[in-house]
Amino acid sequence: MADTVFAGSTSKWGSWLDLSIASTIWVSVLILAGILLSLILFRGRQTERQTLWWHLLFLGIFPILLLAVDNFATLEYTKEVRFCGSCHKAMQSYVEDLHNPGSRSLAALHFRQRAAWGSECYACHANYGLHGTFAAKLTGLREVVTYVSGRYQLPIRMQHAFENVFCLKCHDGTTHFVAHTVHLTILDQLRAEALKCTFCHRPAHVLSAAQSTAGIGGAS
Amino acid sequence: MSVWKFVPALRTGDWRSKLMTCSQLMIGTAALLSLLSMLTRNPLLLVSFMSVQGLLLVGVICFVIVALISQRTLVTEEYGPGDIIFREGDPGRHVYIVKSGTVEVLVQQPDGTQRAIKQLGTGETFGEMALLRQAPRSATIRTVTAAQVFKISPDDFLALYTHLPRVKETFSQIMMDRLGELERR
Repeated sequence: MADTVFAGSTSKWGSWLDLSIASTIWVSVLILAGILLSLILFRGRQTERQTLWWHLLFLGIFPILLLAVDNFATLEYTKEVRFCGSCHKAMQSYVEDLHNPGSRSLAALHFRQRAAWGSECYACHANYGLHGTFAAKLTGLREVVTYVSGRYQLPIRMQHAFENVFCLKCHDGTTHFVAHTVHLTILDQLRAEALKCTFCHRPAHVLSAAQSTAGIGGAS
Repeated sequence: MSVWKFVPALRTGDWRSKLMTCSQLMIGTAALLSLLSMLTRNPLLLVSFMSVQGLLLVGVICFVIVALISQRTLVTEEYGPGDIIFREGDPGRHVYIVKSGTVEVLVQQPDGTQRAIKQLGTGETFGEMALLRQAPRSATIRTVTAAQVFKISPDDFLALYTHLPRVKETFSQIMMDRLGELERR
């Protein structure tokens, strides 16, 4: 979970995500202003040596900086619950469940304990490391295209069964986990996906009766 | 209004100016998309920026190419009738040779108006005074007709000026004549 905790952690000026979003906005504005001023101030002599320092800043250094801060901001922002909830009609009901103080779902329980500080969806649905991040972003990209093109059907179903590895990546080996000796007894089966965590620990999400009858959401 | 009004280098400039303008357009587009995506947090805009961020890199590469070679080679620039090539008081140091067309030399009068003191045609030079005197431009140059000019970098010109005595002699004489003209204005 280290990568998700990083986005939610704070710097002197707020969270790293907020800082990177603000930096992206400022750098973008600076680049646009620099280009506009160059077109006005250096019209007809933009390739002269005296103007190269100006252009080095606005066409060299700032764009590279923008590439870094915007990618960081985008990658971190797309891990947020608010991003997941912004797209899918189906996801809205899951986000409402997260915020429901009376919900007994696993997702709401994790959310109330601030397990991943605003990026609970990502923390439970993406695997560890670079491969996990890459796979999650690729899936997300496909889903955005599907959503924008309208080529989806309700209720939305999970493409794959939820894997135990998403639970074990955080819980395996923790004091709380090993204190329940049954976990140790079935650990090999859990790791081999022969037994599902959600078989005992359920429901993962709770939808309201209205949402269920409307056929919204397929995973629970 | 034509897009050429905003980016005249795309129409009149040599390939270096065009490359520089392309660099600005690519980086500007990516920066605008980045700004909009961060302000709205719209998923489609976020994905769009991720898709076009290659423009930033290509834009930077275009700029680096221009920065590396623009000072080393002879540049041809094209201007329409009435275009200003440079203004009196500007800090430019390039030297120009008229390739085709006619340009006029304008000097500012005490009452603020500008008076044409001379016209220059094919083969004639301008811009050397600012470089040799290490001073701002002493006059405004405006095209009379559509014109093409060779633009010589300060380094290239100084290399010719210091190594070829006849070039030095010619330009020294031209500069003396022009200083005289300016004093008589």
